[in-house]
Amino acid sequence: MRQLAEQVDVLPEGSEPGRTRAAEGLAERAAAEVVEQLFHASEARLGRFLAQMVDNRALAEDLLQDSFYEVLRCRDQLPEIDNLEAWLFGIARNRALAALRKRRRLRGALERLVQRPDPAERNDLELLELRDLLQRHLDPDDRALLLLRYLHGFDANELAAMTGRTPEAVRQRLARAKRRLVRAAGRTPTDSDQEREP
Amino acid sequence: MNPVLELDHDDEIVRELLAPFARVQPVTLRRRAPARRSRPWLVAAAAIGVAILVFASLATAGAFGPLHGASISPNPPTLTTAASSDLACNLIGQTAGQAENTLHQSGYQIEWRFQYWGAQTARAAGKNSPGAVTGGYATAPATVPADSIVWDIGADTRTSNTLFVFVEAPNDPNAPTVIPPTCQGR
Repeated sequence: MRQLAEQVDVLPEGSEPGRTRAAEGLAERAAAEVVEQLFHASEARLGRFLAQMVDNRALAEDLLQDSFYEVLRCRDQLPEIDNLEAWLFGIARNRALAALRKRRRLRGALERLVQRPDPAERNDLELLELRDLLQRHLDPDDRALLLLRYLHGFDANELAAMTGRTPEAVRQRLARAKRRLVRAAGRTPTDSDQEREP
Repeated sequence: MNPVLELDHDDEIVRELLAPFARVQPVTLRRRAPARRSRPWLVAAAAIGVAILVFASLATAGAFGPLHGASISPNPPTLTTAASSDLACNLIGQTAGQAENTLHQSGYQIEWRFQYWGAQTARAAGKNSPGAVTGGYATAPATVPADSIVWDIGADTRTSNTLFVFVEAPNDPNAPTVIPPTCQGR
């Protein structure tokens, strides 16, 4: 972590003229410590989320690295952020969706042919079936919403902050994604238009 | 939002469907491995030890023995002024001491050429056996060890009684097999 922090050019753009370089250095160190604590607290959960989102562990590692790097890059915004973890997951989600879009656009057919799941997952047929089910019936954005809501416990307000939508829009989208998944799995969804998402 | 309301029927199904994802192992940040203390002397000693073992194994296996298949067919001159015209021919394969005695008794002067054979062989196109030994060199000492082996003799055309006697160490590992010429006196 500390090494990662040191890789980044530390002086933020647009520094106030009156601030001394020493004060800027102190602020930088404080921000780096906050980022370091955030990494320490969130790395495992975020790493799991990314491994759930993409079935390529090397790609998931890259995305995790990119996400943390992005946090470091934007660390001067940290004081303005209410929910750091939700913000971090939002960055990771955006990175994952961008990677999936890019992969689908450029290499989709080839990936399907040559992609192999992580060795630890190859014998987990239930997990392979779930990945297949999600990939066939839900777009990556909806998959991310379901994972973040049902496996990582973020509520509609936090998801709204992550996705740039209103909480109501998030609830509706979650409800639709949920119904689609339940139907795809051969289960009977609750037949109600009333959205009762968080 | 009342959390009780969130736990509707579909929520429970979705949680159940997604449950296998809990078994996905998280990825982690790639961190640099801590630098190991380097012990160059230990590495060098190990490398030297391995080299010695390999060399010893190869030597035991005969890999550094004579160049298998390499041979030489000398063509010594016929010495018309000698007591025997086949004198030089018969000295091929003899020791330097024997050759020296014989040639001196016959009135010849000797210029020694001591051959150190090279380790490489060359073969002509299409030939399986080596046609030449390369990479060696010769010296011109005043004397040579008496047990050196004569492998060829040449006449010094500038004089009538001087011979170049080519010898090699009896244990030269790179020496080709000398195929003695057919001498009339033998």
